[in-house]
Amino acid sequence: MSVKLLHLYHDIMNLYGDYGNIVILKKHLEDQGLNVVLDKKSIHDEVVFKDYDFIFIGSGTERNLDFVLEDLKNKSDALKEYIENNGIILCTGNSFEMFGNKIDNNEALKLFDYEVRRDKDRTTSDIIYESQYLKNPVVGFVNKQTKIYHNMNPFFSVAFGVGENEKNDYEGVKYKNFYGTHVSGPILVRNPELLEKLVMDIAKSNQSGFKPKKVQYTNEEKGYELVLSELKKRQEGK
Amino acid sequence: MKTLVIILSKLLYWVGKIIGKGSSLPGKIALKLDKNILKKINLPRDIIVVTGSNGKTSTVEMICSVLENNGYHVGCNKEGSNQTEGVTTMILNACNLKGEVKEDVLVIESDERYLRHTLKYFTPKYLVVTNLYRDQMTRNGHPELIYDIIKEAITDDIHLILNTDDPLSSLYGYKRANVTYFGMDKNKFSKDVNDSAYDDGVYCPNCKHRLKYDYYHFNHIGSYKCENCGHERKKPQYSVTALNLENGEMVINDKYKLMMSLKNIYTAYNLLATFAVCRLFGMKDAKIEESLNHYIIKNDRVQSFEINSKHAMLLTSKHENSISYNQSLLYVTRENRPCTVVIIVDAVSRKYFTSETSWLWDIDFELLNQTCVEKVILAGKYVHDLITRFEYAGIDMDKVVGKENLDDMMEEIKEHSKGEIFVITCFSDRMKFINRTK
Repeated sequence: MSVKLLHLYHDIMNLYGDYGNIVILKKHLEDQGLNVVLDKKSIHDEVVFKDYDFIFIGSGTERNLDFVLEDLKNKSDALKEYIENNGIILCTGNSFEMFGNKIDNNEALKLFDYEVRRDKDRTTSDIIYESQYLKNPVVGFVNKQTKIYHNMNPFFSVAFGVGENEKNDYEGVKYKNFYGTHVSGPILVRNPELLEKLVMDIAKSNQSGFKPKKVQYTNEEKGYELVLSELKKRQEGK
Repeated sequence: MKTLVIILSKLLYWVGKIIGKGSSLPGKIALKLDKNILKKINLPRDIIVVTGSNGKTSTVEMICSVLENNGYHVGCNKEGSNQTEGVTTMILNACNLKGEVKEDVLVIESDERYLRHTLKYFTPKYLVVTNLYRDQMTRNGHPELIYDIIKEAITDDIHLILNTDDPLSSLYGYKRANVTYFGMDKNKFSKDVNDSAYDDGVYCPNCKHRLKYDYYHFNHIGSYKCENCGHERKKPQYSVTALNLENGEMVINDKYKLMMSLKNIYTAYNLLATFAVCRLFGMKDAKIEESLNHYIIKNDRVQSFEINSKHAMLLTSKHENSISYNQSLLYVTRENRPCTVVIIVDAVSRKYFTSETSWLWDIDFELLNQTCVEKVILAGKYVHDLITRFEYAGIDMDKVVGKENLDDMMEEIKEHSKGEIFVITCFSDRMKFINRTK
């Protein structure tokens, strides 16, 4: 059975090269010998979430996010069912903000218990994050205009750069197989271990008894190591 | 007090010139001493401000050149900083000790984010917005945010000069009377689809309804219409009616033929914006045409070199600006001669630190998938991120070599390049190449 990937709101939530995530994920799943089908859907499209092995949503402008949220509200019951049934979702940039109770005074999807507050000023930062789900830290860039205070299970703890709010301690949300983070752009391209984890999770959920193949991705590894060492130098004030 | 501030600023300007420091410090100190100093200066009635993502500097240089060529005394910040402090330095340097600027006209380049601060102190007669693209998003956030920030500075009494082909920056003219549009007619370079890595023209920037396009010039720049709110490409008063990039010729309004110093669509837009400004300024078309045809581009963004008796051309592009890169890539493929393309990403910016390389995924490196591109040399600190991007661009990786070390890159260029050499990199990295050619 083919692995089915959904790039949701591909033409409007793709602000920082986020589409790179789905491109590299497809390739790595194919490298594992799997047949992969990629669907791209957007505003007003009919979507049956349960047909998919993985859903991805990227970053958008604030106005685009508000617009997308209105569309996604019509699909929130099916989306909730997908998440509760352990469906795998990755949301990068500001897209996971939609899953909380409210964005300022605008009602959001109410799937998770948090409120999002928009700031006057932009927060931008290179980051190093750590996660209990990964051995190595994650590197990347955050480009957002919000603060979130929540008591959910965070995806990351902050080692360098900004977090979810001025405390700069935690970042993102992990619930079942939902992964949300403000890190924008191709986070999977830049973080080989996170990519491999998702590839394995998707492959195993698609095929019971899946046997992973060892594939070497030298440039992706080296790119990651370089950025991590650059950011660590920065962290140490060098 | 005013006189003292002016003297001090002039003095600091000359000291800065001698020791080779930037031009923002005198203005910065002047504004500290008197934050309303610019309000006290007697400015000329004619002030032209140019802002936007790409093409500001070239457009300002050309406007100045044409005006000067026609006998105007022009004040300009073309060599200086384009933030509020730099503009202050320029104005205080131009005025006499009584605080009078004697020039006939000021032509000011303004950083998009600082325009709202600079225009607190004076109101220009004309404001040109060249375009609003994805540019340096690590500090700019995104184009819609820049749109909002510029909008804070736009008052009803400013005459706007807008790029009608750009759905975002042309929105400043929505339901507004005092606007002049410039644009480019459909030509042989126009396309029916936008097949770039991203499309910022899918949804109307005004109401988010889907836009309908007749054609695209590049990325989302083209002819669009929103059937919901009516935002559309307005018929431009000044348009490129014919474009020949092979021999670098363009025609404005079916009549005025200009030779382009750089053969790309970018330059055509900059020349067109310049033409529109000078025409509004009351100059005769033929005079502008003549001046622009005698204009020798002063900027050094394109330079030629000899490396081991091979011809090399540096195409300065902007990191974190995919449209700028795409223009360089398109240039290479249009030249269509056997060539080696060198791309250097060593420092993302010369002004601030970041290791953000997501913008590589917004660039259409797929364009290099041509037989004329016989070899690709990727180089610099972020070489691995570049190689990874190329692996997903459908390019034959047997043609691609990566060199983290720039001396190794030079060795590779000298010994193993094929055909003509095109080097594509940013201001932040180009000296690293230029110095190695000596």
